[in-house]
Amino acid sequence: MATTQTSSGRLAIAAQTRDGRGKGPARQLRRAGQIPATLYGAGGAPVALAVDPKTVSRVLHSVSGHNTIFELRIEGGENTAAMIVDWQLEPLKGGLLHVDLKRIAMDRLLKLRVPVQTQGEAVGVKTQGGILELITREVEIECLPGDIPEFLTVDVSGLSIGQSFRISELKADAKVRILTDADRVIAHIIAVKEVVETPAAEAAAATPAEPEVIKKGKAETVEAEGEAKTEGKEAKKEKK
Amino acid sequence: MLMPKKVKFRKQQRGRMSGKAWTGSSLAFGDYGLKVTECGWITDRQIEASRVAMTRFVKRGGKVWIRVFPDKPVTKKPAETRMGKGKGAPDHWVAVVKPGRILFEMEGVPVAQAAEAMRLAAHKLSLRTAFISRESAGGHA
Repeated sequence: MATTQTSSGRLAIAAQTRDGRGKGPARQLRRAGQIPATLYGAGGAPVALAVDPKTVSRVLHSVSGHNTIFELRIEGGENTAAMIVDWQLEPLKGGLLHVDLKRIAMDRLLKLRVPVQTQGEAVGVKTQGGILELITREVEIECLPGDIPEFLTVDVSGLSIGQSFRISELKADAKVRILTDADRVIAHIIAVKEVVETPAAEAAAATPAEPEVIKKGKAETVEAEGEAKTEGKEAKKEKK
Repeated sequence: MLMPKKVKFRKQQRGRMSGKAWTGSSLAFGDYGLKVTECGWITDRQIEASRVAMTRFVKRGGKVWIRVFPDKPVTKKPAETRMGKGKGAPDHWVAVVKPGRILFEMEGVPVAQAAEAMRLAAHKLSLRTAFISRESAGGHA
């Protein structure tokens, strides 16, 4: 198993250093059941690593998600606290392709994105038949690694149709500083539009048959070319 | 029906569809989505039929996003015409999709209702699709 639990209760992930760079060695690594990763940050030199995608996936799907601080144990190298800062997924099956890991200095402030979780059922949804639309799903914060919240709670129960909940209304812990723009909307209640279905014939008549073709420039050049050709022919006739 | 307002050229060549959809392959707006698992063309009529099927099923309560746009003109020669004499007239519009592309997204409905709506929408398409949700996707939130 590539994951163990440390004495402090923190998850430990095993990693190996890798020498190969580029897509060829990366593909070989993926065929062997591992994925390329890179470790950087906290003033240290960047290190190219190979990790087990299953353990990384387990961290990503945990309660604290990508903000989980775990212990990275590099074979024959350093043991450091780390966090996932970025990851690439295969578009079809959703498997992990690459991970960016960041060294964590426990005494230094950290910038990270924390998910937003809604609480309660909005008045606009319950009684007015609206839809709660979550616009901002993650908020950027700054805090010490020990104070990272799992999520920020947004109480939407008081919202009715047309009302919104902004970043400035968020109640976060005193140890956490919110960096996202205070005016940004987190969630709002929208009214459901009544769709009036027009008959197919009417709809077809309303839409133009063909879009407008952008002719600017091309038409002028065609005309200019035409003029030049006629001038050339006239000159030839005169010579004869 | 969806179509561009302005185009640079009336007719296009068919083109190739190699590779996967590296952009537009993760949920951006809603909680649920319909992902295409093979490459192909999706016509303006198919998109409209899928949209109607989804909105009729969810009635009031859901919001639907269409993540593809038919911006490629497809030409067709009239019936019983001899070959040659130039390319045919523009007939309809298609969206070129590669495996992994999200076609539709939905929010504001329970997962079972969203899955059924997407199933109905998928029946209007000529490509294989898969229903995905934010929990199952495991991507960037």
